[in-house]
Amino acid sequence: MNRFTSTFPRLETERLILRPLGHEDFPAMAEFYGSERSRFVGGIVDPAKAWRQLATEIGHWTLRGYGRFGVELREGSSLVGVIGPWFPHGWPEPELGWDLMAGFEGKGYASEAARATRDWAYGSLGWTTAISLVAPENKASEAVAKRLGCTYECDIEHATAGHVSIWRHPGPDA
Amino acid sequence: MMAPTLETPRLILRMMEPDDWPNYADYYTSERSASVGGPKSRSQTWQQFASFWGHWAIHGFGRFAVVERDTAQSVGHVGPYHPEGYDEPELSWTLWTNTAEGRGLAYEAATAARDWCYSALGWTTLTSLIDPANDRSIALAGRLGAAVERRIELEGYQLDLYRHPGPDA
Repeated sequence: MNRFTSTFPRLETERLILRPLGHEDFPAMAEFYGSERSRFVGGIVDPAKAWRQLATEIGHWTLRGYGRFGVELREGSSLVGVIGPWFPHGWPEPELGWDLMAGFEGKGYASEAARATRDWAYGSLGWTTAISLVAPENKASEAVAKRLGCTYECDIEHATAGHVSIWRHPGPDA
Repeated sequence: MMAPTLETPRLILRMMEPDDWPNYADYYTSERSASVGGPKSRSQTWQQFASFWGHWAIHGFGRFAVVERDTAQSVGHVGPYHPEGYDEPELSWTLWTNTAEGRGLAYEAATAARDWCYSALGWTTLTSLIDPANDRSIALAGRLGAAVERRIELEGYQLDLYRHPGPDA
Protein backbone atom coordinates (compact mmCIF):
# COMPACT_ATOMS: atom_id res chain seq x y z
CA MET A 1 0.00 0.00 0.00
CA ASN A 2 1.16 3.57 -0.55
CA ARG A 3 -0.07 7.14 -0.31
CA PHE A 4 -2.23 6.67 -3.38
CA THR A 5 -4.09 3.49 -2.46
CA SER A 6 -4.16 4.42 1.24
CA THR A 7 -7.08 6.72 0.37
CA PHE A 8 -9.16 3.71 -0.66
CA PRO A 9 -11.69 2.32 1.85
CA ARG A 10 -11.27 -0.82 3.93
CA LEU A 11 -14.06 -3.16 4.94
CA GLU A 12 -14.21 -5.84 7.61
CA THR A 13 -16.36 -8.89 8.08
CA GLU A 14 -16.47 -11.57 10.74
CA ARG A 15 -13.51 -13.43 9.28
CA LEU A 16 -12.10 -11.17 6.57
CA ILE A 17 -10.39 -7.89 5.87
CA LEU A 18 -11.02 -6.17 2.54
CA ARG A 19 -8.26 -3.71 1.69
CA PRO A 20 -6.71 -2.07 -1.38
CA LEU A 21 -4.85 -4.25 -3.85
CA GLY A 22 -1.15 -3.54 -4.17
CA HIS A 23 2.24 -4.68 -5.32
CA GLU A 24 2.38 -7.40 -2.67
CA ASP A 25 -0.57 -9.16 -4.31
CA PHE A 26 1.23 -9.78 -7.58
CA PRO A 27 2.60 -13.28 -6.80
CA ALA A 28 -0.86 -14.54 -5.83
CA MET A 29 -2.47 -12.86 -8.86
CA ALA A 30 0.15 -14.36 -11.18
CA GLU A 31 -0.43 -17.82 -9.74
CA PHE A 32 -4.20 -17.46 -10.03
CA TYR A 33 -4.12 -16.17 -13.61
CA GLY A 34 -1.62 -18.84 -14.59
CA SER A 35 -3.82 -21.63 -13.24
CA GLU A 36 -6.98 -23.45 -14.21
CA ARG A 37 -8.83 -21.41 -11.59
CA SER A 38 -8.82 -18.40 -13.91
CA ARG A 39 -10.23 -20.15 -16.97
CA PHE A 40 -13.69 -18.61 -16.51
CA VAL A 41 -12.43 -15.07 -15.83
CA GLY A 42 -10.01 -14.26 -18.63
CA GLY A 43 -7.22 -16.78 -17.97
CA ILE A 44 -5.08 -18.71 -18.41
CA VAL A 45 -2.51 -15.95 -19.03
CA ASP A 46 1.17 -15.31 -18.38
CA PRO A 47 2.54 -13.25 -15.46
CA ALA A 48 2.92 -10.17 -17.69
CA LYS A 49 -0.82 -10.12 -18.36
CA ALA A 50 -1.60 -10.85 -14.72
CA TRP A 51 0.49 -7.83 -13.76
CA ARG A 52 -1.46 -5.63 -16.17
CA GLN A 53 -4.69 -6.97 -14.71
CA LEU A 54 -3.50 -5.99 -11.23
CA ALA A 55 -2.59 -2.51 -12.50
CA THR A 56 -5.99 -2.20 -14.15
CA GLU A 57 -7.79 -3.29 -10.97
CA ILE A 58 -6.04 -0.49 -9.07
CA GLY A 59 -6.70 2.13 -11.76
CA HIS A 60 -10.37 1.12 -11.87
CA TRP A 61 -10.65 2.80 -8.46
CA THR A 62 -9.43 6.08 -9.91
CA LEU A 63 -11.69 5.99 -12.92
CA ARG A 64 -14.86 4.75 -11.20
CA GLY A 65 -14.37 5.72 -7.58
CA TYR A 66 -14.67 2.08 -6.59
CA GLY A 67 -13.19 -1.25 -7.55
CA ARG A 68 -12.35 -4.70 -6.29
CA PHE A 69 -10.68 -5.30 -2.96
CA GLY A 70 -7.86 -7.56 -1.94
CA VAL A 71 -9.28 -9.94 0.65
CA GLU A 72 -7.30 -11.57 3.41
CA LEU A 73 -8.06 -13.40 6.65
CA ARG A 74 -8.32 -11.33 9.83
CA GLU A 75 -5.60 -13.39 11.45
CA GLY A 76 -3.35 -12.65 8.48
CA SER A 77 -2.89 -14.66 5.32
CA SER A 78 -1.86 -14.47 1.73
CA LEU A 79 -4.42 -13.13 -0.73
CA VAL A 80 -7.74 -14.94 -0.32
CA GLY A 81 -9.50 -13.33 -3.23
CA VAL A 82 -10.14 -10.30 -5.41
CA ILE A 83 -13.72 -9.32 -4.74
CA GLY A 84 -16.05 -6.37 -5.19
CA PRO A 85 -17.61 -3.90 -7.60
CA TRP A 86 -16.31 -4.01 -11.16
CA PHE A 87 -17.48 -1.91 -14.08
CA PRO A 88 -14.92 -1.56 -16.85
CA HIS A 89 -15.81 0.16 -20.11
CA GLY A 90 -18.23 -1.90 -22.19
CA TRP A 91 -19.60 -3.93 -19.27
CA PRO A 92 -23.38 -4.50 -19.42
CA GLU A 93 -23.87 -2.89 -15.96
CA PRO A 94 -21.89 -2.59 -12.75
CA GLU A 95 -21.24 -6.04 -11.33
CA LEU A 96 -19.93 -7.66 -8.19
CA GLY A 97 -17.09 -10.00 -9.01
CA TRP A 98 -15.30 -12.64 -6.97
CA ASP A 99 -12.08 -14.42 -7.80
CA LEU A 100 -10.99 -16.87 -5.12
CA MET A 101 -7.37 -17.98 -4.83
CA ALA A 102 -6.40 -21.65 -4.56
CA GLY A 103 -6.65 -23.12 -1.07
CA PHE A 104 -9.46 -20.86 0.14
CA GLU A 105 -12.39 -22.64 -1.51
CA GLY A 106 -15.30 -24.24 0.31
CA LYS A 107 -15.26 -22.01 3.38
CA GLY A 108 -17.77 -19.36 2.35
CA TYR A 109 -15.16 -16.65 2.02
CA ALA A 110 -16.30 -15.52 -1.45
CA SER A 111 -19.90 -14.99 -0.38
CA GLU A 112 -18.89 -13.36 2.90
CA ALA A 113 -16.66 -10.84 1.14
CA ALA A 114 -19.05 -10.29 -1.76
CA ARG A 115 -21.92 -9.60 0.64
CA ALA A 116 -19.82 -6.96 2.41
CA THR A 117 -18.98 -5.26 -0.89
CA ARG A 118 -22.65 -5.43 -1.94
CA ASP A 119 -23.68 -3.72 1.30
CA TRP A 120 -20.99 -1.11 0.65
CA ALA A 121 -22.11 -0.58 -2.95
CA TYR A 122 -25.72 -0.10 -1.84
CA GLY A 123 -24.91 1.90 1.28
CA SER A 124 -21.97 4.08 0.23
CA LEU A 125 -22.04 4.11 -3.57
CA GLY A 126 -25.81 4.39 -3.89
CA TRP A 127 -26.24 1.43 -6.18
CA THR A 128 -29.89 0.37 -6.53
CA THR A 129 -29.18 -2.96 -8.20
CA ALA A 130 -26.23 -5.23 -8.96
CA ILE A 131 -25.45 -8.12 -11.25
CA SER A 132 -22.77 -10.76 -11.37
CA LEU A 133 -21.53 -12.36 -14.56
CA VAL A 134 -20.88 -16.08 -14.22
CA ALA A 135 -19.74 -18.51 -16.91
CA PRO A 136 -22.42 -21.22 -17.18
CA GLU A 137 -19.83 -23.96 -16.59
CA ASN A 138 -18.50 -22.26 -13.47
CA LYS A 139 -20.62 -24.15 -10.97
CA ALA A 140 -18.59 -23.04 -7.95
CA SER A 141 -19.21 -19.41 -8.80
CA GLU A 142 -22.86 -20.09 -9.54
CA ALA A 143 -23.19 -21.58 -6.06
CA VAL A 144 -21.79 -18.35 -4.60
CA ALA A 145 -24.34 -16.32 -6.58
CA LYS A 146 -27.17 -18.49 -5.23
CA ARG A 147 -25.86 -18.22 -1.70
CA LEU A 148 -25.99 -14.45 -2.12
CA GLY A 149 -29.66 -14.66 -3.07
CA CYS A 150 -29.11 -13.90 -6.75
CA THR A 151 -31.61 -14.99 -9.37
CA TYR A 152 -30.73 -16.09 -12.87
CA GLU A 153 -31.72 -13.51 -15.48
CA CYS A 154 -30.36 -14.52 -18.91
CA ASP A 155 -27.32 -15.57 -20.89
CA ILE A 156 -25.41 -13.03 -23.01
CA GLU A 157 -22.55 -13.03 -25.49
CA HIS A 158 -20.07 -10.40 -24.40
CA ALA A 159 -17.06 -9.16 -26.38
CA THR A 160 -14.72 -9.33 -23.38
CA ALA A 161 -16.42 -11.68 -20.94
CA GLY A 162 -17.53 -14.24 -23.54
CA HIS A 163 -20.65 -16.36 -23.01
CA VAL A 164 -21.84 -15.55 -19.51
CA SER A 165 -24.98 -15.72 -17.40
CA ILE A 166 -26.31 -12.61 -15.71
CA TRP A 167 -27.28 -13.20 -12.09
CA ARG A 168 -29.28 -10.40 -10.41
CA HIS A 169 -28.67 -9.60 -6.77
CA PRO A 170 -31.43 -8.76 -4.30
CA GLY A 171 -31.79 -4.96 -4.11
CA PRO A 172 -30.86 -2.72 -1.20
CA ASP A 173 -34.29 -3.03 0.40
CA ALA A 174 -34.51 -6.80 0.15
CA MET B 1 2.57 7.87 -5.03
CA MET B 2 1.19 10.23 -7.62
CA ALA B 3 3.15 11.97 -10.32
CA PRO B 4 4.72 15.33 -9.62
CA THR B 5 4.13 18.07 -12.18
CA LEU B 6 7.05 18.77 -14.49
CA GLU B 7 7.24 21.89 -16.61
CA THR B 8 9.04 22.59 -19.86
CA PRO B 9 8.81 25.65 -22.11
CA ARG B 10 5.80 24.37 -24.02
CA LEU B 11 4.56 21.43 -21.96
CA ILE B 12 3.25 20.33 -18.62
CA LEU B 13 3.84 16.73 -17.60
CA ARG B 14 1.37 15.62 -14.96
CA MET B 15 -0.50 12.60 -13.60
CA MET B 16 -2.96 11.17 -16.08
CA GLU B 17 -6.51 12.30 -15.25
CA PRO B 18 -9.82 10.59 -15.98
CA ASP B 19 -10.67 13.50 -18.32
CA ASP B 20 -7.75 12.48 -20.56
CA TRP B 21 -9.77 9.42 -21.57
CA PRO B 22 -11.29 10.75 -24.85
CA ASN B 23 -7.91 11.82 -26.24
CA TYR B 24 -6.22 8.60 -25.14
CA ALA B 25 -9.07 6.48 -26.49
CA ASP B 26 -8.97 8.24 -29.87
CA TYR B 27 -5.28 7.42 -30.07
CA TYR B 28 -5.39 3.79 -29.03
CA THR B 29 -8.35 2.93 -31.24
CA SER B 30 -6.58 4.49 -34.26
CA GLU B 31 -3.90 3.23 -36.62
CA ARG B 32 -1.43 5.57 -34.90
CA SER B 33 -1.09 2.93 -32.18
CA ALA B 34 -0.03 0.18 -34.60
CA SER B 35 3.62 0.31 -33.50
CA VAL B 36 2.68 -0.28 -29.86
CA GLY B 37 0.21 -3.15 -30.17
CA GLY B 38 -2.88 -1.25 -31.37
CA PRO B 39 -5.38 -0.45 -32.56
CA LYS B 40 -7.54 -1.85 -29.78
CA SER B 41 -11.23 -1.77 -28.98
CA ARG B 42 -12.45 1.00 -26.68
CA SER B 43 -13.04 -1.54 -23.93
CA GLN B 44 -9.51 -2.94 -24.18
CA THR B 45 -8.20 0.62 -24.32
CA TRP B 46 -10.06 1.52 -21.12
CA GLN B 47 -8.43 -1.34 -19.23
CA GLN B 48 -5.05 -0.17 -20.47
CA PHE B 49 -5.89 3.43 -19.50
CA ALA B 50 -6.75 2.26 -15.97
CA SER B 51 -3.38 0.56 -15.68
CA PHE B 52 -1.59 3.95 -15.71
CA TRP B 53 -2.68 4.53 -12.10
CA GLY B 54 -1.93 0.97 -11.10
CA HIS B 55 1.61 1.32 -12.43
CA TRP B 56 2.16 4.41 -10.27
CA ALA B 57 0.64 2.69 -7.24
CA ILE B 58 2.75 -0.43 -7.66
CA HIS B 59 6.10 1.18 -8.50
CA GLY B 60 5.93 4.76 -7.28
CA PHE B 61 6.73 5.91 -10.79
CA GLY B 62 5.07 5.70 -14.17
CA ARG B 63 4.14 7.56 -17.28
CA PHE B 64 2.96 11.17 -17.29
CA ALA B 65 0.31 12.79 -19.43
CA VAL B 66 1.87 15.35 -21.80
CA VAL B 67 -0.19 18.54 -21.87
CA GLU B 68 0.36 21.43 -24.25
CA ARG B 69 0.41 24.71 -22.35
CA ASP B 70 -1.23 26.65 -25.20
CA THR B 71 -4.28 24.47 -25.56
CA ALA B 72 -4.35 22.74 -22.16
CA GLN B 73 -4.98 19.54 -24.13
CA SER B 74 -3.30 16.24 -23.35
CA VAL B 75 -1.46 15.16 -26.50
CA GLY B 76 0.55 12.16 -25.38
CA HIS B 77 2.22 10.26 -22.59
CA VAL B 78 5.83 9.93 -21.60
CA GLY B 79 7.88 8.46 -18.81
CA PRO B 80 9.33 5.38 -17.20
CA TYR B 81 7.42 2.17 -17.82
CA HIS B 82 8.19 -1.12 -16.10
CA PRO B 83 5.51 -3.76 -16.43
CA GLU B 84 6.14 -7.38 -15.45
CA GLY B 85 8.30 -9.11 -18.05
CA TYR B 86 10.62 -6.17 -18.74
CA ASP B 87 14.16 -6.68 -17.50
CA GLU B 88 14.51 -3.00 -16.61
CA PRO B 89 12.45 0.17 -16.89
CA GLU B 90 12.19 1.86 -20.24
CA LEU B 91 11.57 5.48 -21.09
CA SER B 92 8.58 5.51 -23.40
CA TRP B 93 7.08 8.37 -25.36
CA THR B 94 3.95 8.58 -27.44
CA LEU B 95 2.17 11.44 -29.15
CA TRP B 96 -1.52 10.78 -29.66
CA THR B 97 -2.24 12.90 -32.75
CA ASN B 98 -0.67 13.78 -36.07
CA THR B 99 -0.92 17.48 -35.25
CA ALA B 100 1.29 17.06 -32.19
CA GLU B 101 4.09 15.67 -34.34
CA GLY B 102 6.96 17.44 -36.08
CA ARG B 103 7.36 20.21 -33.49
CA GLY B 104 9.86 18.63 -31.14
CA LEU B 105 7.28 18.03 -28.42
CA ALA B 106 8.22 14.38 -27.90
CA TYR B 107 11.88 15.40 -27.52
CA GLU B 108 10.96 18.09 -25.02
CA ALA B 109 8.79 15.69 -23.03
CA ALA B 110 11.23 12.78 -23.11
CA THR B 111 14.12 14.98 -21.99
CA ALA B 112 12.15 16.25 -19.00
CA ALA B 113 11.02 12.75 -18.06
CA ARG B 114 14.54 11.34 -18.38
CA ASP B 115 15.94 14.14 -16.23
CA TRP B 116 13.30 13.34 -13.60
CA CYS B 117 14.23 9.63 -13.59
CA TYR B 118 17.85 10.53 -12.97
CA SER B 119 17.35 13.36 -10.48
CA ALA B 120 14.23 12.34 -8.53
CA LEU B 121 14.43 8.54 -8.76
CA GLY B 122 18.21 8.38 -8.66
CA TRP B 123 18.47 6.08 -11.64
CA THR B 124 21.84 5.71 -13.32
CA THR B 125 20.75 4.24 -16.64
CA LEU B 126 17.67 4.03 -18.84
CA THR B 127 16.55 2.12 -21.91
CA SER B 128 13.94 2.59 -24.60
CA LEU B 129 12.34 -0.26 -26.55
CA ILE B 130 11.58 0.66 -30.15
CA ASP B 131 9.93 -1.12 -33.06
CA PRO B 132 12.65 -1.30 -35.78
CA ALA B 133 10.09 0.04 -38.29
CA ASN B 134 9.20 3.10 -36.20
CA ASP B 135 11.36 5.70 -37.98
CA ARG B 136 10.10 8.66 -35.94
CA SER B 137 10.93 7.02 -32.64
CA ILE B 138 14.33 5.89 -33.90
CA ALA B 139 15.12 9.47 -34.94
CA LEU B 140 14.07 10.77 -31.55
CA ALA B 141 16.18 8.17 -29.75
CA GLY B 142 19.13 9.45 -31.80
CA ARG B 143 18.39 13.04 -30.84
CA LEU B 144 18.29 11.96 -27.21
CA GLY B 145 21.74 10.42 -27.59
CA ALA B 146 20.53 6.85 -27.15
CA ALA B 147 22.17 4.03 -29.10
CA VAL B 148 21.06 0.50 -29.99
CA GLU B 149 22.41 -2.08 -27.60
CA ARG B 150 20.71 -5.24 -28.88
CA ARG B 151 17.64 -6.72 -30.52
CA ILE B 152 15.20 -8.35 -28.11
CA GLU B 153 11.99 -10.31 -28.38
CA LEU B 154 9.22 -9.22 -26.06
CA GLU B 155 5.67 -10.55 -25.99
CA GLY B 156 6.01 -11.70 -29.57
CA TYR B 157 7.50 -8.44 -30.90
CA GLN B 158 11.02 -7.86 -32.17
CA LEU B 159 12.27 -4.65 -30.58
CA ASP B 160 15.53 -2.75 -30.47
CA LEU B 161 16.77 -1.93 -26.99
CA TYR B 162 18.28 1.56 -26.92
CA ARG B 163 20.51 2.69 -24.08
CA HIS B 164 20.34 6.36 -23.05
CA PRO B 165 23.30 8.40 -21.90
CA GLY B 166 23.54 8.31 -18.10
CA PRO B 167 22.95 11.22 -15.74
CA ASP B 168 26.56 12.38 -15.91
CA ALA B 169 26.77 12.43 -19.70
